[in-house]
This record gives sequence, structure tokens and C-alpha cells, in this order.
Amino acid sequence: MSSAFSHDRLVECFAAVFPGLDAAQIRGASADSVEGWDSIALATLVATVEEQFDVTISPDCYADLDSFEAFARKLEEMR
Amino acid sequence: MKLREALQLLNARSSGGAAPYAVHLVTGFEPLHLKTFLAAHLSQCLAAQGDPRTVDVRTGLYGDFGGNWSRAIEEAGTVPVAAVLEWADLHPAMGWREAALSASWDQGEALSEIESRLRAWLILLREAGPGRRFLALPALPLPPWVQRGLDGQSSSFELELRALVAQFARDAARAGARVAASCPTAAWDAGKELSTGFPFTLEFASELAERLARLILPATPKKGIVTDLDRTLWRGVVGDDGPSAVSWDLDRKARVHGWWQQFLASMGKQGVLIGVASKNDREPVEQALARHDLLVPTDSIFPLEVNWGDKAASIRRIAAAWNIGLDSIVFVDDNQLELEEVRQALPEVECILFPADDPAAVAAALFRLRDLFGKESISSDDLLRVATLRQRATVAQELGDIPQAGGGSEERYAALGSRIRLDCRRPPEARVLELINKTNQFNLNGRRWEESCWLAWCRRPEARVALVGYEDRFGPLGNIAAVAAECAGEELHVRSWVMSCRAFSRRIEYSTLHFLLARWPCKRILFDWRRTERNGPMQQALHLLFDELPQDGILEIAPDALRSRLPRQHAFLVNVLDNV
Repeated sequence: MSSAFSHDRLVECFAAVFPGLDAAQIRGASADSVEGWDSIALATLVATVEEQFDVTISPDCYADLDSFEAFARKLEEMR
Repeated sequence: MKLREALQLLNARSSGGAAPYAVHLVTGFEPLHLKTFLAAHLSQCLAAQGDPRTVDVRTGLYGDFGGNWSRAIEEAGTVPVAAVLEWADLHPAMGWREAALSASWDQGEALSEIESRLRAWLILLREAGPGRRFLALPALPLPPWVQRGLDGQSSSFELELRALVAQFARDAARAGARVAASCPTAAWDAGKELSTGFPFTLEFASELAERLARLILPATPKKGIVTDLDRTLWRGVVGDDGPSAVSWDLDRKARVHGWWQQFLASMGKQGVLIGVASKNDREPVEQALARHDLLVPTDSIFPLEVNWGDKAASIRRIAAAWNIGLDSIVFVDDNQLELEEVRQALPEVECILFPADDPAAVAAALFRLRDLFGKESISSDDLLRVATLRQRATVAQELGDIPQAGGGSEERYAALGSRIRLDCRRPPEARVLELINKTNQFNLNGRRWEESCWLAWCRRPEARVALVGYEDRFGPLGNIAAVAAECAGEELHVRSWVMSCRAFSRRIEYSTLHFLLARWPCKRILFDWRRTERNGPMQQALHLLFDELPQDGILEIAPDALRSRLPRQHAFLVNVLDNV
């Protein structure tokens, strides 16, 4: 999985959960900057990412997944 | 459906300003992805019905199934209520997430509590009266700490518990709820239940949501099956092996063909039309179909298209003989090439492979077919269908190709001996809504009514409904037409008017108007007219009544003007039922 490829697919996951954001906004998205980033949105993001990348993210990590970058880092770690 | 696809589908929907389609989703767990999937599958069902509305899934409080159930049923009105019950909703000790098991846990007391709880929910359901309720039964595993037994044994507690739930489901179904069939997919995601409160795997959630959506917004059932013969209805090639050598029994390793015959027989009993499209010589086919050990009654098969032409042409002729649209037909064949040719030529026809060499795949195909033809109940009118189609062929032969606009010999119409019954009782028979919601060709506007809206409309004092029954010298056609109108002041406003295609060529539509004008006196008649892609026969009738094909909209005509344009009546009104 190349990094660029993974980022594009991650952008698609974010776009599904936050349809109001464009790709540039998604890449800079965080829990603080995005309205509607709550526990439900996080659970939906995690499930979408797990489904899209065929991975299982430990619940222990959920609290750290507070931005697009954090998701990208996590996926890189899981490669 | 993947979760991302569900989200994308919902993001892409736009209601165009219409109020969303609302549904209550009752759960005790966090509904999270089930809510998303339910909205997405309902959106797909709405889109398939040409309805542009978005979906609003209303949920309740976490951990309060009983309260959510009660509030949803009380608030629902015409809004459907879909409840997904889990063990934890019956007793907190049966949940995986909450630490609720006390030292004093007693199975007998727990069962007693559960029974009381289920009874209370059932009473709520019954007391709320008519409504649209849907129920899914527990799918998660029971925690091992609430039961004991030998290795591999179902505990007596579990058996008692399941019996209570089954009884609740049965009684809820008797009270009008529809209970979802169980899903074979693994239900439980233990990690997600603990971390998010949502207990299901995504695959299960999607499958359950799809089942609920199909119950809430059922597709119009298909009407006819066209089956191939060699390697489908039987094992072998009848032209080569001979009529006595083709088989469908276990001894000759042909039992899957016996399944297919039994399935067709059961479909025939439900009024589904069964025809044959086969590339063969006719004589050996007729001999094989005359065999006494055939499991499908030969008289339920009509027509037989046995020739060496292409099957798409055969299916077209069968559709014409049945007088139904191609999109109401399913074609089943063992040959991928034949299926592909039909798919190309007739994309409206649903084509299903009969995988004769794979029993599990045959069984799966049968389940799929059962769903395509799924109906909640079978009316006597369904059972009359095959017989009346044969009659129709005879009538058409006798009367010639009569245009719906009313041509044909008056003597021949008179010789039919048409007799009409009107059932204007309220609440109307369920057959009225069934006719309105499934008829395409003779349909005033293609309007489909949701059951709850229909029942609410029927309760209005100005509502008038007529179910039209018919018979003639060829036999009864059953209840074949319906009119729903509002009678207010001097106006009669016809909202829906439909007639089964089985009843064409007999002037029943004009007789219906003739008799209803006498029954529902008024000074102006209004019709909610809308041209659809498929209501050509209605267009012909309106052309006759209005001297030209009117534009879409509300058509107005005076009763005398309408009477003067009706073709001559030969039908007798033999019975009227009314309680208004």
C-alpha cells in the first residue's frame, strides 16, 4: 500500500462521514476544526476505515484518532 | 452494502423539498451503523419506487428498549416502527456490556420478569390499534453466565426464554406486526459492542437493515415464472433421451429438478403464473409433461412456448398471453448463454440461473425466487388468475381484438352475460389496496398508497371505495377493479381507479362508472389523471370519455356528459355491499 494511495482512500472515508468537506479541508480535518466530529462520527469513521482498509483498530487508540493525520499515522503503523 | 457506500448513498440523496420518509428505529443498544444502513436501504427502496424523498430514521434512548418502544408506538401515527430486540432488553443480566448480574440471580424469577415485560409490550401494541410495526428478534449469543447445562446442551433456561420470545413474536404478528426472518450472517462484534455500544458486525447490520427495509417498503411482487425444461424442469434432454427417461427423483440424482417442480407447484397454488420457454420439438415435451409422476400440475402451466426460435421472442409471447409487463416476469434457465441473450433482448426480465450441478446454489436460487414473489397473503383472486387467463384467451378469440376504447360487436358483449358486484363497505377489503398498488396498465395515475396512509384516508367521512367483482359465462374473474374517491358537496373526486389486466376486453371499466354514477350522485366528477409509461389502457379509456387524450392534471366532467360517452351497457349489477 503506497502512502499516496492510502491517503486517497482515507479521504474517501472522511468524505463519506463529513460530506460537507472538500479534499483539502479533509486533509486538515481534526476534532477541533470539524463541526460534527463527535463520538458517533468517530465510531463511524473508525468502522468505515476498518472496512475500507480491512484492518481492526484497537479501541485503546480511539482517543488518539482526533484528526485526519492521526488516522493516516495509525494506518501507516498498521501496514 | 458497505458502510461507506451507505453513507455515500445517503449523502447523494436530495429530497427536492419533499418532507423526508420517517421511520422509528427502536433499539436498546446504540443504533449507530444500523441506523445508517436502514436509511440507506430504505432510500434504495424509495428510489426503486420512483420516490425522491430522503429518509429520517428516528431513534430513542440508549438502554431503554421498553421506553423507546412505548414512545415510538404512541407517537408513530402513520410512521413505521421497526424494533430490533436483543437479550439485554429483556433482562439486564443478559447483556454483555453492563455488569448487571446480581448474586441473587434466579432463572425462574428472570423468566417471570421477562414474560411480564413482553406481555406489557404486546399490550401496548394491541392497544395502539392499526399501525405499521416491524420486529427483529434477538440475534446475539446469550451470555454463558445466565445459563448452565452439559457440554453442547441448550439449557432449559434458554429453551424457556426462546419460547417466550417466539410467543411474543407470534402474538405481535397476530396484532399486525411483521417479523423479520433471521439473518444467517454472524451477528456479534464483541469488540465493537464493548467499545461503542453497537453490538453487530457491519455485514449483519446491513443484512438486517435490508430485510427491515424490504418489509417496510416491499417491492411489487413478480407475477410470472418462465421456466426452461431440459436440465431445469427435469434432468436430461427430452428430445434425445425420450419423455420417459427425463428425471427429477433422488434415485437418478435428479432431486434438484424435483425441488424446482415442487417450488413451481407451490407458486402456482399462490396464483403465480407459470409458463415454459424451451427449444424443443413439441411432441416429446407434451408427452413428458403428461407423465403422472410430474410434481407440478400440468394445468398450472400456461402457455407452452416450445419451438426452435429464440427465447426472448417466446417470453414476449408469454407476456402477451399473460397480459403483464416484462418487468413482472422471471426467467429461469440452466444455460448462461440463453439467460444472457434474454437479458440483452429484454432487460426488464429478471433472469436467474438454474445451477443444476450445485444443490446449494439451487436452494439459494429458490429462496431468492420466493422473495421475488413474496406476498403477505394469498387471496382467492390470486388463485383465479391462471384459470381466467385461459378464459381471457378464449374471450379474446370470440370477441376478436377489441380495442379498449369500446369497439366490437354489441351482440357478442351481450352474449357474455356480464355480472358485476360492488363492495363499498368500509373499512375496505385488503384486496383494494393490493389492486391499487400493483396495477400498472389500467391505472388512473400510477399512485401507490402506503398502507397506513391508505387506512387513515379510508377513515375520512368523505372517502368512498368500491371493489368491483365480475363474472360472466366463462366463469368468475374475482375482484378485479377498484375505485377510491372523495364525495364532498357536489363533487366526486376520483383519487385512484384501477382494473386488473385480466379483466380487459369486457367493458367492465365503463360498467363500473355506470353503476358508481348511480351509487355516488354528484354534479361534477373529477379525476386525478396522470399519464405514466405503462397506463396505455387507461389512456385509451380516457380518450373515449373525453374525446381526446387529456393533459395530466385534474379532469372535470359532468355526470350526464360522462354517461353519454359510455359504450352501451350489457352488464347486470347483481349485488351491492355497503355499510356507510
